[in-house]
Amino acid sequence: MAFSANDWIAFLPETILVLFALVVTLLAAWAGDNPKGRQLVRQTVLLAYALALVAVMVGQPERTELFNGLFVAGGVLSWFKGLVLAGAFAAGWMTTQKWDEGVERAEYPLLVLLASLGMCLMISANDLMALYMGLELQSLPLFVIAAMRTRSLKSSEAGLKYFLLGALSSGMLLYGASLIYGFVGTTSFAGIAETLAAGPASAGVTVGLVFLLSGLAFKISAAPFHMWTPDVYEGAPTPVTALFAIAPKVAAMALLLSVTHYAFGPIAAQWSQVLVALSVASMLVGAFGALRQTDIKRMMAYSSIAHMGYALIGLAAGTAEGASGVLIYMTTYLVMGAGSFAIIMSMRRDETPVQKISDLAGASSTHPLLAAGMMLVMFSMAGIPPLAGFFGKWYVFVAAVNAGLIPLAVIGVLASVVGAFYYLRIIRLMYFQEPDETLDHGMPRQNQAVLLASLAVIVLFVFAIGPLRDYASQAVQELTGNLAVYSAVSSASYSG
Amino acid sequence: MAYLSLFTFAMLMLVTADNLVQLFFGWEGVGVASYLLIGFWYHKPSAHEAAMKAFVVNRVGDFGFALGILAVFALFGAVSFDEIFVAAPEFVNVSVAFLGVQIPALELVSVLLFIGAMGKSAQLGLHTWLPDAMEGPTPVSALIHAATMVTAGVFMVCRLSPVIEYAPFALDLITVVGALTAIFAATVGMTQFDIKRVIAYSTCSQLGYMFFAAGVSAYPAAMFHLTTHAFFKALLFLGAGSVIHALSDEQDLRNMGGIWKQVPVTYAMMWIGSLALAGFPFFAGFYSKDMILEAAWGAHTGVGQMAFWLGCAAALLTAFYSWRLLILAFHGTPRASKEAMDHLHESPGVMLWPLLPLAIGAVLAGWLGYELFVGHDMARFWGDSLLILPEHGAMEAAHHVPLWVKLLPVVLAAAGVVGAVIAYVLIPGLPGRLAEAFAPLYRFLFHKWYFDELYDRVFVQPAVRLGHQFWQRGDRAVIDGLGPDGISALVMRLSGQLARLQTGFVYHYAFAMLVGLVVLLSWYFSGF
Amino acid sequence: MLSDWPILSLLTFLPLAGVLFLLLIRGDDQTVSTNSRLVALWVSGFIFFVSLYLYFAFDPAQPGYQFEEQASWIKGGGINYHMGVDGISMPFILLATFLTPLSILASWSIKHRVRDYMIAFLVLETMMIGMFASLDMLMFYLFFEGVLIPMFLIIGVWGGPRRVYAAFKFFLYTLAGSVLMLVCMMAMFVQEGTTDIPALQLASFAPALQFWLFLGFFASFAVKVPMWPVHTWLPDAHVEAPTAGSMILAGVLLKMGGYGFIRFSLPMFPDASAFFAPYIFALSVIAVIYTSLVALAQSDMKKLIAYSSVAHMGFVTIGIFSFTEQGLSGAMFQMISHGLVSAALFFCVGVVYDRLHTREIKAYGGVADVMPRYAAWFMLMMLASVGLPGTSGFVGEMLVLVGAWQASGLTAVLAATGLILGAVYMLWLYRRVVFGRAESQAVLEMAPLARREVMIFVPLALFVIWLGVFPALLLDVMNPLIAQMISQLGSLAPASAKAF
Repeated sequence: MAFSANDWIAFLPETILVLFALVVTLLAAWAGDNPKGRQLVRQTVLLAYALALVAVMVGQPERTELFNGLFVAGGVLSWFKGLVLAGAFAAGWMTTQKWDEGVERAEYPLLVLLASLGMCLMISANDLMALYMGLELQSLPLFVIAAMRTRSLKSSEAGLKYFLLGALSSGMLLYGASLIYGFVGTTSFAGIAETLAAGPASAGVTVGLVFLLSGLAFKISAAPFHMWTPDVYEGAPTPVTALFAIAPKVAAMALLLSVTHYAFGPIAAQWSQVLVALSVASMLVGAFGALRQTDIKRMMAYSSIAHMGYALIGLAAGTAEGASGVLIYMTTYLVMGAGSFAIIMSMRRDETPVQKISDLAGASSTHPLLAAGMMLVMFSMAGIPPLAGFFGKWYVFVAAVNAGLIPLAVIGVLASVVGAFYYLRIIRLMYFQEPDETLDHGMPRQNQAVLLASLAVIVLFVFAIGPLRDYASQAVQELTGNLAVYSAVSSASYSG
Repeated sequence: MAYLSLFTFAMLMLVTADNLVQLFFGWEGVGVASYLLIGFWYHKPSAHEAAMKAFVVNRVGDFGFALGILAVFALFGAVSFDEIFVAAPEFVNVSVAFLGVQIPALELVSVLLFIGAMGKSAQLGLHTWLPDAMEGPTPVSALIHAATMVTAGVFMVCRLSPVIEYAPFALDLITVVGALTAIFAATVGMTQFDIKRVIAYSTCSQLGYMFFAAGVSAYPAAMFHLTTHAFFKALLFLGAGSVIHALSDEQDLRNMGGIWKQVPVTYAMMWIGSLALAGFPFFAGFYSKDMILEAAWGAHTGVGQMAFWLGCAAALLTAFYSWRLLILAFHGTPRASKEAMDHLHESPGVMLWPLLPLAIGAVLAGWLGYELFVGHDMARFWGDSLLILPEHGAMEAAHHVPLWVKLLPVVLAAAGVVGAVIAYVLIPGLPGRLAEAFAPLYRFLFHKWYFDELYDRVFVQPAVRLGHQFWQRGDRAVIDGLGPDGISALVMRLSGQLARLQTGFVYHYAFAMLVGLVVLLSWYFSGF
Repeated sequence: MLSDWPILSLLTFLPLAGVLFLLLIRGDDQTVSTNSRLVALWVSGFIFFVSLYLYFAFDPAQPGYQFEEQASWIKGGGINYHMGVDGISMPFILLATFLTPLSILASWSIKHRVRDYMIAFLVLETMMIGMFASLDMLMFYLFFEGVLIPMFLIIGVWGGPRRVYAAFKFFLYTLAGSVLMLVCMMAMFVQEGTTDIPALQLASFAPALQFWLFLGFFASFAVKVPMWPVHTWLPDAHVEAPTAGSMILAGVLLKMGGYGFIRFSLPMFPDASAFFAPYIFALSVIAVIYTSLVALAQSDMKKLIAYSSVAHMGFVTIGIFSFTEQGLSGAMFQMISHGLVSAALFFCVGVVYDRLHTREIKAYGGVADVMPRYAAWFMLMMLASVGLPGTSGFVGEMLVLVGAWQASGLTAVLAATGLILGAVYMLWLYRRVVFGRAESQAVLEMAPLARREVMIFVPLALFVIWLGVFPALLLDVMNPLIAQMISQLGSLAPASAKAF
């Protein structure tokens, strides 16, 4: 097997991450126990993200298969990769020296770097083997950092739970993958698509697909595979939660997109049904579960479950339109997640991080910027126009309607009303109540920067939606070529 | 004074209107002016209650009026009198479906508009506001609630004669309502003790006369009575005001008496007014009231006969309560408080002088106006403004009735006076004894046939109660309870249930995942 | 030349420029408060004058859209930036720009977080103007929903004791309605490939589809109007909102529902509208009678007026679905008139509330003694509210009844009972508050009307009477358009309604 130079250029982002991972390992071992060294490690990792991001942006615009089709790069995947890297950068940047709880240790940035590498590989995966490899490379560091707060029982418990359940889901996924391999005879996405297009799929393939999807559903914490999410979000150190909320979801969603739309595109009618179920369950669990939470991180966990449910609507549509809707949705999701965690990470009282929702009470009079920012993020998450969150919803719902999934869209919009309730609850606390104990003043510079960037996108998204939509509908074409005519049939059925 | 200007403006709008909308405009304008003037002494709860009552009862009438305008517009496509009057004959046989019933179109229009007139002119059923309206200043009562505004209903009916003439049922209805009002108000007037209320009921009764005149197509007679009535009723009101003023704002007849020597001018004026009201020969009321009764007789219809007899009875009662008023107010032993008697004085010139032209009118208006309004010059005077179909000959027949018909009202009036003198001068205990002997009847009359109580029970209280029920049961319990509040409670409960699933035990989580997987698989395959 | 300017965009986004100004104010709390008030007042006043240009440059004879602006927005998506007004939306824009400065002027009694308050109001103004000016369905939705954000804050931050409940109820109630509309908008977008309103008005949807689309839009607009039985957010929102919030809420936001019916439901789903007209009549009649009776039972002034709003808006929905010129222009007139009158009435309550800090009717009585001029203004507005001829309230109600009579006699008769009930509760309110002898010490100590308050009453009263005496002022602007709309609806008069 010979790899062309072209392959390596297209693979540059991952290569950068690998090289930096090696360097940082050495660096951490050498200078990991003094603050200056840790600072250096952290900055090096940030540099790695930045360089990789640049590489993604200047890299291959077209979709290119690499390493004999094991991976694929370019095209719409670059967008997702860029999102992941930007998210990882933001999360890493905000994890300043102030944080202890384990994340100050030199291995933390390293582990995140490795996980990010795993995410990039997931996005690039073009083969069940590569898929599994990327997934595990992403998961293992995450298991560790979830338990990073070693002195906290909750953190250890969260890490352990995440690990055990992650192992279970990996098992499902692997089992599914082997079934598919057994019945299709290939692990390559392109090969699978080819075989499925040729004739009707056997029951074994579909069973395998369900297993595979279940495993992936765990990664995006879609209900009913979401149970770990609240516990892990709550237990893990806040910078870790921030990372969890932002980057891995995007990567897993991108992977899900290529698996369904590309590899299994010809049998869209079949996985669509599964995704509808997952989507409805996630939206409902997300909306209802969050209502009574008192811990803001737990609430954000449910919120992210709900968001995944909405994104799944776009996938379930099984159309190019739906895919581009997912792209837009995940973009807004990432921006809103970064903004919200910029705030949550700066919630401190007496120099200690706090994470009760009620800690925000009266923030509007004591921390006007924080409160205004949080308010905009929350309205956006609730999908209130003209903020960014609305457009993500608009495009996935439009896709669903176009695909004839009107009941799904109706459930979705109604769930979003329930969801609006808990977002409003935060606004109420900040704006309608007087503060009892105030939070510490002074948001770290990094958080401010991330928050402002996020707010800028949220508020000005009306201007960005045009180009973004054009890009998205262009970019997803190459992924969705395998989709069956299924969507055309079902969309015709309702318009009469 | 601004209110009075407003009133005058609106009244002029009303009478000069050449279309229904402008008429309505003025109609409502005088209503507001009346509302404001009744509530002039806004400190008094009874005053602002009366003001509100006046407005609301009139609104009920307006409800009919407004619907009448709508019906006219729907029917004729126009609201100007010219167009309506020209077109009216074409619609005689047209009927419209109204609330599922086929009704002759012109009947519908006429009845609806008459409901408006009933409100403004305080006809039976919608009369309750007028006596209460006496809470306003007395000159206002004289101007608005006796002479001008309340007659707007009569004016409207006459004005619309080119339409109403084609609606026989509406005409009968007008006759019946008018006749009943005439007798009703007269019976109540006998028992009241507030000097202004007595006169107010008398107004109500006289308006009844005017309406039944219109109902038998004797529009000129109605207008004639309207004119003469304006003189003597304003005179009576201002005279009553003078009495009230003389007795330091005392309005109760039981606290008056024995003052005629001290207030001779007022006393004389009240006499003139009463004579005119009772229809004694050669006073104004004689001409117009007799004309009306003769027309009713001359109509030769069932309702006309009824109106005639009720009108005659009312004439008897009218004379009775007028002299009851005179006797109680001016004669007998003084019953006013000592301070009031000490301050007893004739009113100043500024209050008395205005009475003079009114008194002249009350004496002469009938004699002067007779030929013009209802006599030989009638056709020239009215021109095209009133329409009387040839088959409605009451007006013509009125001039050719038997003598006894002409004499009966005068005889009855005289009898009424005699009765009053017997009851209140010769046998002073008689009214009390009669009241005791016929206690239920007396109470019935004294409480104005229990109209206020009835309305209170049937409309006011149920409305408030119903509103309260709608609010508490409907809005709060049902709509909010099943709607937003109920749903949010349900959502919260579901959310609690869901939270219980999140046990924290890892094997529960794993179990959930496996169950999820199994459900997905089975749903997936059952879907085939 | 002013005529070359994108006047509608200018109007829409000028308030945001005002927000920038507000953000730039520096100084101690006192200075910030004072300056914020003045800046907001001047900005909104300026916007009103700019909006007057719309009225004078508007060509009433031409029934189509005017001052159109178009720019590409989401190019590939058939969604464009498209603004324009016609005889229906233009009066509403003026109403919004007229009421905003008055509301801001009525907010002098807001003492805390004045700057934030003014920002919320100016953002609200942007949303309102934008909504009425949008000729793109998605833009319309953005503004339509965007209104919720500032209004939620206005109720929640500056509201009364139960403000949290009221704000949430307001927000979620209306959101639940509008998301269903959103789904329908998507379906229309999917079918027609565009969200352009003029294009969609020309599109014809299959009757079966119209049925569902109508229901979806109905869910949103009925809540906004509000129609019975989805009106229960209104009393709570009004009672808890600050005075100016109530003024805008009743004055403009309720009109969004009626406007939506006219802009979307009638022209886009004519068959479904005709089909549902009898049901809407029924709901409207219930609204008129039911809420009037409920208003009768209220002991809270604001709640009473809030319920009266529901009753008055019942006339609007009757007029719109009467499928007659008179009914439709009556509905429009009634909306504008109600916008002025209800804003004025809420301000009337606000005036005495500022002095006594209670809205209980019982606490008042005899206000005429201490505030005679106030009594006169209140009287005028009260009479306008009961539809006295010569005030704007009369024209709208009468036209609606004329339209309703042609569509369904029963509806007209039952709706007309609202005239009686309306008089009862309004006069009773007035009597209990203003008449009588001032007895409580608190009432006796009430300060007479300030000049600022008179400055709010005068323009409102001016327009209430002006419109009442010269209804052509408004009717001329919209009648050509309405005539055209009705003729397009043509034979679709609610056939089944005739059965009444």
